[in-house]
Amino acid sequence: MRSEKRTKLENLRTDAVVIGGGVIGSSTAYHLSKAGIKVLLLEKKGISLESSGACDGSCFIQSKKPGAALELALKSLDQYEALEKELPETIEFKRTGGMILIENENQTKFMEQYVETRKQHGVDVRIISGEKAREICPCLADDVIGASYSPLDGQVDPFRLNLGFLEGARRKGARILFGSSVAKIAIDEGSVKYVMTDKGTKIRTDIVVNAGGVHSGEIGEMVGVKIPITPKRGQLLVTEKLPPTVPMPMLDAKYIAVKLAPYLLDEMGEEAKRLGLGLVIEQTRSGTVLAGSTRELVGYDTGVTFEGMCAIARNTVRYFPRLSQFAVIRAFSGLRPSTPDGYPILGPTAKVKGFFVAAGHEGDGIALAPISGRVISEFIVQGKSSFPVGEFSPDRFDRV
Amino acid sequence: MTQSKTLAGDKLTICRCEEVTEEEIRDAIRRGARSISEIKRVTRAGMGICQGRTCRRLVTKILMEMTGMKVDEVDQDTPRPPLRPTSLQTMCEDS
Repeated sequence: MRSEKRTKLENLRTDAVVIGGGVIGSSTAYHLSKAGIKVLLLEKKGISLESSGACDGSCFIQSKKPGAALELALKSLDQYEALEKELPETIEFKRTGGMILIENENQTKFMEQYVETRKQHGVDVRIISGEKAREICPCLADDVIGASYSPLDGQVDPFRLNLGFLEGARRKGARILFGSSVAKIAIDEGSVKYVMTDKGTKIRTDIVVNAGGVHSGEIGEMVGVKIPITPKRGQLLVTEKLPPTVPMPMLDAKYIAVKLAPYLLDEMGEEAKRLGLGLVIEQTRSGTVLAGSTRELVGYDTGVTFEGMCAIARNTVRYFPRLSQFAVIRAFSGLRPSTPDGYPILGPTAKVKGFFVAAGHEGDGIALAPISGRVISEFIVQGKSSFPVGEFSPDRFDRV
Repeated sequence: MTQSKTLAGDKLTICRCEEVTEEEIRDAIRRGARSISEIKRVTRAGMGICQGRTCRRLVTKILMEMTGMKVDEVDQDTPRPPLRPTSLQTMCEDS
């Protein structure tokens, strides 16, 4: 069913309302439906029209911070293998392995330490030589002096994933309303009572899950829950179809430095710093190569810029000189929902009983979609998550 | 299109770049897609080298026929650069 306009919806009653139909909201709806919960999902726009449809599909384990974030990613990727069999759509998940490319000695020092802390946490990751990296990916530039490699990283098709979760949820009984947004969430004595849509339909429910991505802050405001999410724009280029060229997703050490070691950024030019430029590259199953990316603070602007496209092209060609002859057929951008501490926001809120948040995944939404939906579903069904996610609690920004 | 349909049925290719058939487009619409962008994400129609220049009108027509939408109610895909396929090398030189 598409729109409320065509179907009279009155006096609706459901167990849970999920707000947002991206990978996080659809995963939540799927996991809840699978657990026998009656779900109504409200999606303001349509199928994969925001961040979930404007990103790459790389799923990195080795880039996660040791501790809860790493555990979350490990569990999520394990779940992917099951989901590939379980969902009605093939999601094209592959455990390809992944590399982070190193181009100078400063980066080597940083990356050696980076890899060491991850090894101590039991992650299968190692520094390999430039020669070894070129054996894995022969089109890498000669001046790549090394890489960190992990067989645990993978990639998935974000469109198939989003559709798979939506279709999976629907087949298990979830009701999905496209083109409907939430206008009001009514609270009585600290508990969720009902949701009113922008079309005036009242949906009685005890549970609301805010999976509104970059719009989660506005939804939180409706119930007085602070959700500090800032959109960061990421631009990407799409090439024409190529024969197998990029066997696994790759990042460069700069991409990691942008997040974890800002001192390494001094080696970068002003433009790269301003754009938050870091390499991310993967080849899709169709043969196109996706190359990015930027992290820009430009509000909700989803445009692409000449400056951004050229900076990505130059960075990509530096690492992959042989790609220079191939054509870019499209540039696009998506907004990454970032949080002040770089962790997602996941779990119940102390302030409003029945109000849950699953948002703020920044660039990890695809990698963490399976586990995020499962965690929220466990909180709702069992009252607690099967492993600790306290560090991601929405209450860390909103002490009662 | 109606005439071709009698020859090829729903197996008629609508998007040549990505080899998407009429039946696949119709199936995406049955699943709730109501814009060119959504049909593209579900089927890949319009994602290829011509970026929908060939299939956009056909997809719009199928959408109108199945949903009763008018032509100006059909959201088209976001126009994005480059206007024509452009080599990475050219993009490295141009700034």
